[in-house]
Amino acid sequence: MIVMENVTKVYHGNVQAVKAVSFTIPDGEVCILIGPSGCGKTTLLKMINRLIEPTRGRILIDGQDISQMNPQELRRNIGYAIQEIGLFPHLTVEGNIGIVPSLKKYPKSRIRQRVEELLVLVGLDPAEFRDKYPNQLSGGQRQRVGVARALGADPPILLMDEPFGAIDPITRTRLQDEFLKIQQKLKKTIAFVTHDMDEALKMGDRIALLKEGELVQCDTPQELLAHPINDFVRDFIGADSAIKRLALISVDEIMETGVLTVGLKDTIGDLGRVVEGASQTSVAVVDENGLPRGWLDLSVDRSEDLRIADVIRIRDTEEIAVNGSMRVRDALSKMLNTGLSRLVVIDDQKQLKGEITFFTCQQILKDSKEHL
Amino acid sequence: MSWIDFITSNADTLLNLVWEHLHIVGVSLLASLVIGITIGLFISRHDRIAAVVLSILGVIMTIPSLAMFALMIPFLGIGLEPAWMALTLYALLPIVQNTYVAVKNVDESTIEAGQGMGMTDLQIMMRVQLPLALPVIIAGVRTAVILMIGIAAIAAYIGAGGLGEYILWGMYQLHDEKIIAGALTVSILAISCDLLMSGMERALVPKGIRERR
Repeated sequence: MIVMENVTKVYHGNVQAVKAVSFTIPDGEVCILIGPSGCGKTTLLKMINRLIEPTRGRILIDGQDISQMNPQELRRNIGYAIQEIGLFPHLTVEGNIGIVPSLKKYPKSRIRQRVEELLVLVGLDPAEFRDKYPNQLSGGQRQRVGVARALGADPPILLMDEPFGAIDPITRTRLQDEFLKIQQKLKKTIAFVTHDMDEALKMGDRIALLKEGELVQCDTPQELLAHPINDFVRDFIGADSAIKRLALISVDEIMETGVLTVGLKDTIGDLGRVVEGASQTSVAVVDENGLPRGWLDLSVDRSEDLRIADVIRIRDTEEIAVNGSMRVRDALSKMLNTGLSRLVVIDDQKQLKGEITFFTCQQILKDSKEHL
Repeated sequence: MSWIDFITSNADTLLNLVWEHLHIVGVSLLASLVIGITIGLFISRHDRIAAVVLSILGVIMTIPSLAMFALMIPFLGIGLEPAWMALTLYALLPIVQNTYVAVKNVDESTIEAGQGMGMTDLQIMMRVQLPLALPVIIAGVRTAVILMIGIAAIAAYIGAGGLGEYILWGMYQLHDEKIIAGALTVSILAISCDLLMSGMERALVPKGIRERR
């Protein structure tokens, strides 16, 4: 747990970069530090590993005042990930990731093993990447190495300063998703600086919004969107806060379950058995492997006993399905892109587990408007 | 041509002089490396001292080599020691200057990354700044070596030996072949040392920063 108590930083006797900031980052949570440039977010972050010393106030890690600790010792137990430029160009990927373990005097064989574990964790093939130099990597690969390096000695705390800053949006989204998965496993206590509200809402368990060195609001993403305490917060979130809320909810949470299915190889005659007594107006159609392939409208003419495969439009599963772990916002944008008013929800094995409709999304948007 | 005959018939003597020459330069190089890199690293952390040190070394460079060797005599007499001393002083400027500039130019964020990982100042210097500065430092050393091989020829005036002897005696005896043999060998020596060091540079500089130069 990281506790900030009235942390203040004054430069040159009068410039207050950080003004009496107090907040707590509980164990295993990601706390986002966000705000316009010059708001003191990076200064605040660097005070946690004492790259910058506070002028007044205290920072406690697990109840211990960090100003009493040896700074090198402290930093070796706090992972530090910054933009890609922070990698050492003269060291290989292995050399970079192994820095903190080697500073902590781990035996060579253990460092090697640790590097391998971490490369696998961040999705890079150890055999291929271990001996490469940073200038042989793409931007995204460098960021992965940066994250792996921060995790080097398995520190309980991570400080991340725009770790996914300088890369293209697609790679960025992928890295964010992967990082969230890693965090679910590792449960590190993380302070994460960004200037991008979408990233903050996506990554944060808690968001600390700063302005000119002052902490304006520190809340969960849901609270921040639902109850911004003043106009500054409202402006910073942006006008589309309702849509942003959709990014906080996963498809799993709002999907309708109990979707009726028929097989592609079944016939209209089989329908009666499936839909008996049900109120639905359509059923999902799955193929022999259980992959969803389309829908059958129940108003279909049932006088002829045709094969279902012959009466519906068969589609690719990818085209009509979303994974349950996806954000509702992404599902909504898929609906808008494909022109479908609903999508089937699948699990990682592509088996059908529910359905999400445009109507449900609309309802959530409406609800969140009433909140504001 | 007569000077070719001269060289072939005096190859043994010439080779001896080459070794003497290399001996003078080698010892001075070692001394200037140790002193120069240490000073360079030191002043990279103390800007005010840096300006003073670099201008003093600049002044030393302007002293004509003949005068420099002569100036050594009252303190160190004649022979090898004054030659070593003078050459070391000349070599300091390129080595100190390049070390200083190279270390200074290491990206601030790279150094901060090192601090953030928990490196001590000494570890940052040895494990980050020095390796990253290496290509530029080696360039300085190359300049210094060429410089020393040339100036060492004049050390013959104060009895330090080396290829300068042929040039010197050639002048006194109006013996053109001797002069040519001495001068030519000095040049060849300088060129081959430079080639040797460019090879060394390739071996020493980590692959990751080679393309950046």
